[in-house]
Amino acid sequence: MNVTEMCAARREELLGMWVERFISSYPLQSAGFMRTSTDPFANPVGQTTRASLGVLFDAVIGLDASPRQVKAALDDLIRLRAVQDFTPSQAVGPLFLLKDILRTALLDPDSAEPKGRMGQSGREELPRARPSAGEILDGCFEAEARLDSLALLALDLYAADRERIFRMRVDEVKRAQSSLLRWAQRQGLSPEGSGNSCSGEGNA
Amino acid sequence: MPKMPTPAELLAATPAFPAKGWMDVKSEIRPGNYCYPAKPDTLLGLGFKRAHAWAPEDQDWNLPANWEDIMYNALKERLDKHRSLKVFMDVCVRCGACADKCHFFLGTNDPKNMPVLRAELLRSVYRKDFTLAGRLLGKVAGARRLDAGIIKEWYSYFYQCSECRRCSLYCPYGIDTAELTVLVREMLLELGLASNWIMDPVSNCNRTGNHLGIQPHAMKEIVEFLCDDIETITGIRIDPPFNEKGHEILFITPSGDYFADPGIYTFMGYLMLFHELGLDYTLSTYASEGGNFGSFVSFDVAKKLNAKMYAEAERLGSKWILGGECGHMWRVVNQYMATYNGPTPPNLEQPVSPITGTVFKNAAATKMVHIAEFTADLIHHDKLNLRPERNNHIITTWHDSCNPARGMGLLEEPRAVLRAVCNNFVEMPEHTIREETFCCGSGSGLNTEEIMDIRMRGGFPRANALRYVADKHNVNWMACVCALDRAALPPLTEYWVPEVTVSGLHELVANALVMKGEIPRTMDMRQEDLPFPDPEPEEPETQEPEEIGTGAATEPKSEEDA
Ligand code: SF4
Ligand code: SF4
Repeated sequence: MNVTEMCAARREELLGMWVERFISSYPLQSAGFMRTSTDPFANPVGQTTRASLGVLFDAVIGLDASPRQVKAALDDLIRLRAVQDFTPSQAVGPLFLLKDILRTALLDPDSAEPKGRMGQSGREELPRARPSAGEILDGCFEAEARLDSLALLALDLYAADRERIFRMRVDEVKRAQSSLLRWAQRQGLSPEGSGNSCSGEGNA
Repeated sequence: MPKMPTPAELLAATPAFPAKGWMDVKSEIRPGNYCYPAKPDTLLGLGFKRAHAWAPEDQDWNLPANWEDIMYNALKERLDKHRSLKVFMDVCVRCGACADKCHFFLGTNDPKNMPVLRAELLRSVYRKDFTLAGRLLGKVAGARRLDAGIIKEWYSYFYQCSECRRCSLYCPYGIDTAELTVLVREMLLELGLASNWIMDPVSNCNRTGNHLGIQPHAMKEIVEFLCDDIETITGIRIDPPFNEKGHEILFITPSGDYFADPGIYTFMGYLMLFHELGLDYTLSTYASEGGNFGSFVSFDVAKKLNAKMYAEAERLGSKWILGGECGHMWRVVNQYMATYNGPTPPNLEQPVSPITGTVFKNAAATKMVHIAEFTADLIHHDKLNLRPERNNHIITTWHDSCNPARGMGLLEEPRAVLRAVCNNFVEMPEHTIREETFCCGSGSGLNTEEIMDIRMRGGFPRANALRYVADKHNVNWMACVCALDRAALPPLTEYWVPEVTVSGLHELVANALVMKGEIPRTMDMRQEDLPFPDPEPEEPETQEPEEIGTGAATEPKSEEDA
């Protein structure tokens, strides 16, 4: 058994802990709702977070993952957090907290051993051979390096999302008076000099 | 060297929300989470005497010296005037049915955006001053004394409610948070606190007739440009009547349709439809704003702006009023107009479609018909020559705008129109459409650019459902009948679902409408090339519409509920 398999065997538990770190960035009173409601349309933030982190988790622990899918999942997550009143570090930061979770799970001798699971036959399966400490460390570093790549990509996505917001704010003002701007141009006037009250900037 | 914090410590050091009770959490006023204040001159011009200069980020909002008395009296007056307010204050059992129904809560996960807590922001103050238990027991009974921090909290959270009324749909008592929001905003106005994005248009509508304050001659010229565009696209010249007396119908639409992209394409659609029908109508520059910006903040202001419609219909001697694609305009018409400004002027009659003879019984009280009803009736009676294949590159879904859907039950008519003009129609998932529709996140005057982040998270539940049908069914279009939506949804889709274009209903009608004497269409209303253009003119006139674009329509036909 290698590190990827060790993490995969405990996927639900470890992923759950990571999701929890994200959910705890929301107010206490709402976190309960976000945990319990599983309808993607009734609890869009909780479910988007969960779905995205599931894909990212698999990529970090080294399971086969399509780069396109991984990027899309990260994109969904960051796009959401980029407009949720977080500082940049709060928005992206909980990604890093998976490091702690994996380290604890892999290196702590008490928690490292996956519980003997019940096989199909109902009998307890024998735990397979555990990798050496060196192999675990190597596996851990590899997973962390993958997580670092995702975090760097997250920075780019976050910045692009913020830029998009600012561009949208400008575009909206233009769209809101598109025919008026055209009229002003035909009159040879700049919009400001049209003599009309354009003071309701940005109104639609 | 001081120890560097770990990432976990760093993130935990700045929690978004502490684990305190909601009353102890003071709202922060930061850039991006408040609407810019209305200018004092604007408010003074509208008769709000306590208008003053203030800046939301300042500690001191320059409230009048006796502001506490003003608020006490304002609340008392409203409790006496609106029986509903008293009921809403007393009857909530905190069952929580509304709590997770607000799109602002779902997008922000901020508990103060739960409708029950939003109402509690006012209710707690009401308890303190107007209930015995609250007076005696204070905080234990959920009561608190009004202070300047609460005024700030109100300005923050009652401007994070889009008055969409989704919550009231689920409340067993029908508590209408939207109405509470209007009342609190009304009370804030008494202190001279209001949003510029709302009050500037209110002032413009009041003085000039439209929300940008455009003078009549300029407005007419702008419409002429749009008629130039129609001529380019169809080869037909339209010269719509303005302010003319003696026409059967007065047509009033939100003024965003005259000025804003993409509303202008829908406006062009109205003009083409009326021309094709030979409708006896006039536009008006005086009543040129069907939308009612006053309704966002004050029942009195709403009434005043609304009165223009009947005044103009009386002056022009029209028989009935046809209204354009708008949202809150129709809540005002449907719920308040008869009480505000009824009875209707004597020249107004029960609306009858001159084309089909249909009597619009639903409009008996107000004499106003929504254009989606009007067009659906035309289509039902097969009065329009339509070529929906021109829209074959579009796979559209339908956004039920809150006010027409929940405020007047306009659910089937726009869908009937959409199905007739577009071959590919996919519904978004249940519980996100019809009465349960999710708001665009920018309604009730929140459509202002400085709170774009709030709007993006408030609109996330809508966008999330849209995203689902875009991924699953290749939806690339979202149509709606609301001018604010036409302004608010383009940035929303640009952020969350960039492949989706937003339009009004009558833009798609105009694409499909075959007009007598038109040139073969090669462009849509936005003057973009039609992927499925009309056949060349030498083709026989009698060609069956089914043959046009055959084989090119690769997408599924009208797919119901994903
Ligand atoms: S009216 Fe709409 S925005 Fe306001 S609290 Fe209710 S659900 Fe939220
Ligand atoms: S659903 Fe109605 S009664 Fe229940 S908590 Fe909400 S407002 Fe109160």
